[in-house]
Amino acid sequence: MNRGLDLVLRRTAVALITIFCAISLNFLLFRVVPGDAVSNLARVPNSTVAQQQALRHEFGLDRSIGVQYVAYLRELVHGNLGRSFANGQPVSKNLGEALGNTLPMVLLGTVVAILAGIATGVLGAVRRGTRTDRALTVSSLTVYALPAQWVGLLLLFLLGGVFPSGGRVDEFLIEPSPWQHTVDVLWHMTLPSLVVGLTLFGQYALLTRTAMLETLAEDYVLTARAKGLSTLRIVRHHALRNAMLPISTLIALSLGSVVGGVVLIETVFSWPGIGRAIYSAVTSRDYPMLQGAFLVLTVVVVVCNYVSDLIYLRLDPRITV
Amino acid sequence: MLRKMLIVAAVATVAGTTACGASSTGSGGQTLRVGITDSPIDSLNPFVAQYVLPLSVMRNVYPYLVGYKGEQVGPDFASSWETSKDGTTMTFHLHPGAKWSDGQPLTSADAVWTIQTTLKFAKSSTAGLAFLLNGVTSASAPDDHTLVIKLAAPLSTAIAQFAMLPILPQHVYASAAAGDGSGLRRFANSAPVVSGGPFALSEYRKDEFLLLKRNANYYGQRPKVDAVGIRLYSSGDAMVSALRNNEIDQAKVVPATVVDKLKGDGKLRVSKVPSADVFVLGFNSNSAKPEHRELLDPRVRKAIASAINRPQLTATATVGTGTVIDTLLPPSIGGGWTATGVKLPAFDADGAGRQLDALGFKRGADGVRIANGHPMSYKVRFVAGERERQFESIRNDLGRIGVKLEAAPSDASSFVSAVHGPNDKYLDTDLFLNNWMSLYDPTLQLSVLSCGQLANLNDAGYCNKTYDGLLQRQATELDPAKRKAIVDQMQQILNDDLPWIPLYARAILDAHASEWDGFVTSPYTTDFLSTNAFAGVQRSG
Repeated sequence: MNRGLDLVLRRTAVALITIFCAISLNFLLFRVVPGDAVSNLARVPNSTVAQQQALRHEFGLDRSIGVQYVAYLRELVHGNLGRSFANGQPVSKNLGEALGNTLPMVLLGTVVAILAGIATGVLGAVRRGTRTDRALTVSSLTVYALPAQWVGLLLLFLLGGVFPSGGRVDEFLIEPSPWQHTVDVLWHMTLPSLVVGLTLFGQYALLTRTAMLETLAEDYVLTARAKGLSTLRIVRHHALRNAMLPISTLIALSLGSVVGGVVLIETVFSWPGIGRAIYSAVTSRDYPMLQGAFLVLTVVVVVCNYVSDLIYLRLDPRITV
Repeated sequence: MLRKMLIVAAVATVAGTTACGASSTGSGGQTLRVGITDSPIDSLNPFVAQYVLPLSVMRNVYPYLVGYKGEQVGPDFASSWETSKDGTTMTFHLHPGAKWSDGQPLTSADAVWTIQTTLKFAKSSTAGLAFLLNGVTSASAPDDHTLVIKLAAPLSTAIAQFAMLPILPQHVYASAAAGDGSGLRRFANSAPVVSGGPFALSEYRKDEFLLLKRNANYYGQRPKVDAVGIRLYSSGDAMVSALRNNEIDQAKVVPATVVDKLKGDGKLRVSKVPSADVFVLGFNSNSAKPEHRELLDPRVRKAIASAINRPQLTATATVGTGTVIDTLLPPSIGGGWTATGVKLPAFDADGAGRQLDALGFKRGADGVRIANGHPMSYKVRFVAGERERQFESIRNDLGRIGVKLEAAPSDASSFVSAVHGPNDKYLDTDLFLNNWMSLYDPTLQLSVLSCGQLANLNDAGYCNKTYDGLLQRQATELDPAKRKAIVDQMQQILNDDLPWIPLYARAILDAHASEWDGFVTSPYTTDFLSTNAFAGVQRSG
């Protein structure tokens, strides 16, 4: 128990240090590229150098990077991500809305990918070497290799008349009931979620197949077969459970990266999520928004890693250090 | 402001959907569903917003003293006005009994508050609007429906300036203007916005959607539609797909590549108008620039201008939809401002080569000419992702006359800093590609190349005292014919010195479902100088 606790504490410490490093790097990164928010914001026809300085002062950009960094950390500890340079609104509010739009879309796609991927992988492993296996492997490899934005455009082209071409809701529904609203959101979510699902499906299916093949060759599976257990039972209770170790890791890792990786999908489907928020923040050098967004992405990735470590710990009692 | 407009001015459409087949708005009434692409909303705060779309929204939401009908300024909230004999006092007669959308009286007091507050914080939080009050010293209200504006001197641009100044509800904004006025910049102006224009902004979701509902308290003629919903697309393909699938009624600024396809669709109508957005190849004109000083010579610039095949460049860069231009004032702004006598040299690559030969710039072993002991090889700065086709076309043309170009792309945020160079000294840059959007009144466009805009809007580092003197003179010349002659002369000076080689004006391409009519086009992606865009739109089918 103590060792387990010790391990959890260590992993927590590593996670926190990673987040701290990422915060510091993010802070520095955007300040070394040329141009700042004021260089464009202040260029109104009557602008004077003094005015640009005043704006820099207002944003705190006239202070040294060290002072800005300390101020940023201090505010961060108090839960204050600052205000967007572009629209003057709290970053947490901007990001909260964007993340609130991205997460359900990504989660739906991921859940579909997990279910379909695992089912496909298991089927491929059980039917190893058959036509079914080859067909499933080839199709998994194919969707794995396709770029997400291309798949998105293709789906838009093929299914544009059936599903909405973009956006998150039908704004022209009059006072929809909660049920109507939910259906509407799900309807709009279908295509982008499908693209997320397709891009993840391939890797889940391939990994599941490999992991299942390994476990299916283990002695205990042979023993189970010898005991006369049905294939279904063997797969469900003996093979898949053990194969879940690498799969759970992959799922946790890909969940973290997919949130940040949906920029292109969100652009294709005009989905007002975190990807679009980051894109517009980059183009306007909106440091507080960028720092906030990258902080959120970092935390998501680190937390997913952390959770996968903990799951591992629970799934595999052999892991101690 | 214009610089941002320019950067942004690209693709636009507005849309909504009825894809679910569920009940849509419009039971009895009409809702126009518009789609717009890549047209961001930086802010709905009039002191902060710089992009075209939010300015257009404000044009439809706030009262303005005067507004454009076509290219001419006409009455709006002021039904008439007169100027005193000495030209320094303007008296506006406002619609009596007007109200804001929340029922509060809309009077001259709101106009006075807006003007005085903007003047008060002109050096800080209201700088974004203050240029519209250039030459204005004060405003007063003898009664609820009369506004008196005092000018420092007669000002020919006054009316054009007021046509862009929104009148803000004092009862909403006053608290933000307390103290040093910094609250004005932070004011969110969240929907529903207290409105006084033809529409009231009733809903806004960032990166998603805007809903303009007809303002029942509007003092002017009511729009025919009940509401306009504007959906923000991030992909032109998705927007076009939405239009074809009846998820939206109008797509604003569709990609040029799909125009022919849309024209073939019997259920759609496509409109094409030249935009006021002018693309230029600029020269760093700072006479102190240390390197490649041959580029300061107007003869070299003329040679380069005649080596560029502008018709072909225009066709390539705009997929055949743009218009070749010769001056920075495009014909699309009307008013006769374009100096018809000012022409760039016609395309003549051989002639250009001979001009450079005559200057003694002979070709080196690699075919690149040598000027003052170094190769005529230059970096061209431009915003990445937008200008590659222009650049390639120009590089090919100039390559033929022995001038080598190298791409120096940067992102939009650092482009201006890169062109101006460290501390806005204009020492590093040779050439750049940029675009500028002219208003109907030419002053702002002409002022970009003035000495006063160095380290600010002036991207060429160009400074010519004669030109600046004329800029001042045209702004105070009240006789239209004389003013036009001055503006012509300014365009001629720029044609002689060539700080910019004007290339082309792109086209604004809109498409809408054929059962709708009454759309009024403008040379802007979304019209921010008049309320015409949606005023007469109605479903005809």
